[in-house]
Amino acid sequence: MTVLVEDESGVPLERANVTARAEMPLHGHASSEAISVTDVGAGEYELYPITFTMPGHWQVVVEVAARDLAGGGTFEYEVE
Amino acid sequence: MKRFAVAVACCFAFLLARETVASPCCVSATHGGVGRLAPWEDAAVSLSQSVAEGLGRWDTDGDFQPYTDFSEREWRTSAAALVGFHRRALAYAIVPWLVTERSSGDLADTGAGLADVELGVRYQWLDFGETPSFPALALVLGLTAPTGRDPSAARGTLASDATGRGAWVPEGGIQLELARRSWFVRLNAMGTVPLPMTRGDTGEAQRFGPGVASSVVGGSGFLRDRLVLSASTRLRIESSLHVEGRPLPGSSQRRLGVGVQGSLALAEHWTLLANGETDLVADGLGRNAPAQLGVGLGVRYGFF
Repeated sequence: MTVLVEDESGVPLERANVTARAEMPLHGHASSEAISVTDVGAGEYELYPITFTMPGHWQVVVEVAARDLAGGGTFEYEVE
Repeated sequence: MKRFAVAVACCFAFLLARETVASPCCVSATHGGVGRLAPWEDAAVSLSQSVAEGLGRWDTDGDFQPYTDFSEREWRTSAAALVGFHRRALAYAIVPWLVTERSSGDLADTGAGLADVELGVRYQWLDFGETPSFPALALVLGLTAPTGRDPSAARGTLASDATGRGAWVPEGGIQLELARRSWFVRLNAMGTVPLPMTRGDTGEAQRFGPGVASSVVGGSGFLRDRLVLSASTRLRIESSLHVEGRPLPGSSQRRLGVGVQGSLALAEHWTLLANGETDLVADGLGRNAPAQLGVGLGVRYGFF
């Protein structure tokens, strides 16, 4: 999974501090595998591995900190 | 042996005195809930093995979603002990060991470990026949300890080595039992209040919602009560998960299932135990919970 990180004006943010985790929010637990984040340039960050350990509702939560900016996003998945 | 004889004599005297209650003291001891000691027993230990196959899960809307490219099988070995420390009271401990096999697509993962240990006490507030118009009543107080590995600490690819929930769970409830000759009906109703925990991965304060676990077991003894068969239904409800003190919308859980149990007195001290149970896999009968079909076999030894 690759995410593009931009500031509010749409400028890609390079060398940001990006962390991510996969979790089942309604069950209150995360995936057993931590997600590694690789900066591939131009504001893009590759998240790997993302393992959904069982069927159900999952979220990939991405948190970003860069310079004086902080933000993030949540990606929803329904795993069959 | 002498104590056994005395106990049996007491039982017979009781039967003669109260015709409508044949052998309630003995028939249902191993059926439903925590179980209890027969009147002549000082303690009992049991060892059981069960296997449960994952059938699917209920989603947040209560719709049942059968597993398609995913399988889950749980092998549970449980050692249990009941120790009487008062004429009306016993302490119990259940120590489970869990082996989980999961596969999803090309991935397969097997994990094992000690699961969450249960400890508690059971007090027989009203015994059978003690008051003519009221059923036998027992109070149960228990505590589940987070001795298993919670999902955040699991390391297997499919988290098969997760064997617990990671929270201390005090629980309390009642057992009401009606008996007539060899027939019995028992209601178990337990409330659970999980204590707050800190998630290992995020550091967030998390608390599983309070819940209710109830079951109704009805059965009868056959072959002079050496064989006891029963059927049961159970309902588990858990209210919303709280994260950092706030309830998480849509996170409450519900499971409804049925089961059958059997016990056969093999010898003076030994009882063979068997059971089968399944969640009722229909839309609306569960929520945010897995559904399983399982069978189990065990033996119980009574000390007297």
